[in-house]
Amino acid sequence: MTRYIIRRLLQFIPVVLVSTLIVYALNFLMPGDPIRALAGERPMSEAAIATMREQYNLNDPFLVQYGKYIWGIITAGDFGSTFSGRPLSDIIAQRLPTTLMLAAVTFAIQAVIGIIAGILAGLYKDRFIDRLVQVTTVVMVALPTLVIGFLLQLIFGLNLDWFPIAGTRDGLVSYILPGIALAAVSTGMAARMVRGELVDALQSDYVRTATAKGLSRRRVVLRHGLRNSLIPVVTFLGADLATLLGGTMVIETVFNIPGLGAMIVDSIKGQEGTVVVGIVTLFLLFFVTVNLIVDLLYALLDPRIRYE
Amino acid sequence: MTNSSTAEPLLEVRDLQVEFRTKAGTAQAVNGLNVTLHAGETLAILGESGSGKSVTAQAIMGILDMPPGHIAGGEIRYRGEDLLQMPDERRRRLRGMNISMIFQDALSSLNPVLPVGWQIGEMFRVHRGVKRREARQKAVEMMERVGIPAAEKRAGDFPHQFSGGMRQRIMIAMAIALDPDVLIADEPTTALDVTVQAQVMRLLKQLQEEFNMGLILITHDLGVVADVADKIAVMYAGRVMEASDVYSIYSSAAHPYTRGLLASIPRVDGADERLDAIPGLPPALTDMPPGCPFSPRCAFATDRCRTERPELREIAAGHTAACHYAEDFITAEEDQHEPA
Repeated sequence: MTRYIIRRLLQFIPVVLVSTLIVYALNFLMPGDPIRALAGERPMSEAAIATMREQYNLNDPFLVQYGKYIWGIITAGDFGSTFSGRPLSDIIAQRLPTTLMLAAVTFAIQAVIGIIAGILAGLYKDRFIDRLVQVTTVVMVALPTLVIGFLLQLIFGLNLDWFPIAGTRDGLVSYILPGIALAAVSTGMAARMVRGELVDALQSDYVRTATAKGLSRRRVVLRHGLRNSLIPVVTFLGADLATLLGGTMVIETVFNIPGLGAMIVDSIKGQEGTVVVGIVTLFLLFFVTVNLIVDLLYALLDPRIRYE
Repeated sequence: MTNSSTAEPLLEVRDLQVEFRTKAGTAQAVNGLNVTLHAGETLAILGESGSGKSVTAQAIMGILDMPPGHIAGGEIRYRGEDLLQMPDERRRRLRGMNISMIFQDALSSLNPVLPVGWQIGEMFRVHRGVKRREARQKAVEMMERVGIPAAEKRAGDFPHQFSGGMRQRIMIAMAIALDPDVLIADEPTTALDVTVQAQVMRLLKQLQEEFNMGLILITHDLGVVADVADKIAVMYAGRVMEASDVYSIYSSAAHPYTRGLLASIPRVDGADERLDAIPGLPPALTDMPPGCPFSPRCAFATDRCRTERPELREIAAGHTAACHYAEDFITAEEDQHEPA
């Protein structure tokens, strides 16, 4: 088990190297000159431009640029800085809590609503509540996150005025609409998954055995049916927690939330490669770590799975 | 088998009717079934797949999937009391405690993610209110009782870590944990190797004698039946075709269907003979022929068989058959055995 974990951790290194290289390359290939874009309409002396190009290694060939970037991280823990001179670590420290908060609210909605809706639909298969969950979840899965975000802003923000439509000034309340928008697709998928798994489990031989043992219906469903049907759902939600960060790019922009997702979008616009690569790498590390935890959790929940 | 005709029966099934309502129509899975079981007695219910034998077991146990299943009529009396009229909660308590059941495929019938000791111990915890630690101890005792080596150590293992025979022993340990009066075994050895089959059957028989249980053995394997059963009921298309003590079935089977089954057993002394299989398939339960359900496949069927359904009737003491010509078959057999 320990050896398995060490092996998985060692796999992080090539994964991070390859993916940072790809993101760095994409950024390098973007048309336009980042320094001139920074200057915008204002005139800027050729000397100043040349100094900045030198400072940010922009004159070097691509692989040298990338090499210097990685070298800086390894030797000095220097993740670089923005063109305005602000270190990236500063930006992350300031914006990470906001994005984590959004992720937490989103995950809570997915897990709680998704699982409860799935259980109700599975228990009352083919009844009204099941049909309701089935129809609602199809809509949730089918609608793009962006559209759901706009709809929520329009209905619950502007028309009903229940929730703020932008910013984070109102604390937890500000995260509810963006959280719902970001959670919608996965909530729908989780609910459908729980339903399917529960329906299968309730028809399984071991649930029939549990009934034959004279257990109460409640115990049969909770201890024998649900226990097994939630295993794949736990892994799904875990893996989804990692992909969720990608969604913050859209939702933080729509709801004007000053998190890391919005920062990526802004930095792409400003061609700030260092910032994009830095934050994407952070997301990536989060992704592989969460996936590892999910795999370990899976073995813990299902005794038939063993790693060596 | 003791004075079974005079003592009060443990279980008495009277005119049981089980239907399945499907889109294709109503299927008569069990159609007027009568069986009686006494303490210490083994009743084998024999039949092909789809004959209604497993449905009968599930109806007695009260674990029929309803819907689509539906008990359309009849009685299932346990110690004189009709289980079908009993409040759900009372009936639930009887399950596992007084009447319990083991299934064909122990791997899928045991919960894959719970330790086997926990699953056996659950019987004591739920029905007797025993604490976790003590329940585990009792589970280990049960495992030892059914012959699982190193039971203390293995109680924490999961079903997939055991062999097929050991898993079926675990099922048995769970079923007999609370000393039930009636044990229903639905094809308990079908999924096992032949050598293991014999061990498991021997264990069942031994436990039955020890606890004086009534055992209902559901099977399609006549070979298994001969060794352990006291009585046999042969089912076909939801009905009992023939029922008697085990000796009479083998010595003087009256129903052409039973005779067909007996002829289809492979014999050790006739290796190069072709097996006599019964031609054709059982009728669709949604579309039963008007006369005898076996008539389309019966070599001896007459017009009477195709139009008039034979009732189950006594043809000798303790021997019933549902065939218009049952007596003729028996007499023919006796003629054959007379010295020339």
